[in-house]
Amino acid sequence: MSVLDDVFAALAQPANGTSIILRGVATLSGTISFADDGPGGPISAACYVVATGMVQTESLIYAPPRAGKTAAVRFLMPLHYVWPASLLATESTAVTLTKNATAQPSYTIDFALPWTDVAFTATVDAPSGVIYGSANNALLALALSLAFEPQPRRKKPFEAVPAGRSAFKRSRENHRR
Amino acid sequence: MKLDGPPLSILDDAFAVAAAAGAGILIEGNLTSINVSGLVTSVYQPSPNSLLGGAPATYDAGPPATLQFDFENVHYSSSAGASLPAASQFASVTLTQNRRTPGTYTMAVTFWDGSHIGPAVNVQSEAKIDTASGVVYGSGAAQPFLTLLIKALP
Repeated sequence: MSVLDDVFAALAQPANGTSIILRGVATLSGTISFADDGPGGPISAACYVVATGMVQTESLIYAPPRAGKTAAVRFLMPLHYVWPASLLATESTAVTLTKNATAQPSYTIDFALPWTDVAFTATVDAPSGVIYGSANNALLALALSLAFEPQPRRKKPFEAVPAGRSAFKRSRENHRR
Repeated sequence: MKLDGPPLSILDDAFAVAAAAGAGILIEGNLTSINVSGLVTSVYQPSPNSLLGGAPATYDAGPPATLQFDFENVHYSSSAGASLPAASQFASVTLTQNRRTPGTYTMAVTFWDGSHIGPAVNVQSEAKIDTASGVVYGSGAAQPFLTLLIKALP
């Protein structure tokens, strides 16, 4: 079982009384070839992206497997770009993890950078458990951990008891029926 | 990064460049874990008067041959998700050429505490190379995950 197996298993069958919190840190290393042509031709540069963020159940959308569709989880990841300098502002990108319908569990990560869309097969590194992959000649490491936090149990809705009959008597009457 | 003969790997090339006089190496990288992130730009160059910037990397011919550089401004994230810069904390990275198995390398990361008195955590792993991107990476224990982009300087 990998961290991705754990994520999808937990989302498919959430335990009672718990909520799921997904925490992640992402980095991007590699050489990105921009689609834009600079004055001297296509621009090629090393690009670094540092993204940190905490994703909670409330902001996490899980799509269970359906006929003809695979299971996927989607969440927002804040990104802080160290390079290029024009992208120093922090923004968010939607990250989609897809569980592929293959004999052996395999996963795909999709998200958008301002200059290109990134999609790659998610590989889990041992022993760190960090999810990584490469696309467009860049290597992305997306560190994800799955944490479960206890959540107060829901109280049963108030049930009115008719006057003159205690809950105990009513229970006995129901039992005799 | 062109040397005599076909290149074996980016790390073979980097160590060959460092061993030969006249050329330099640019090392850029990321440090990733749930609670720690950091960036490095480091330069190994025989000539000290270059204007390329970056913290200096050091090469020791050994044996075993080693390349060493530091991560500065390593950020430690709190449990609430906020990234808290800790300027006094840094990590040292050492790439070592394995003598018994040519073409293989180890990557050691030492996290230093704020007092700089002694190392807080040591992590050692094999330095792997991603096929598609050529990025060097490695990890040890539960975390962290280190990626390095190594290029020859003109």
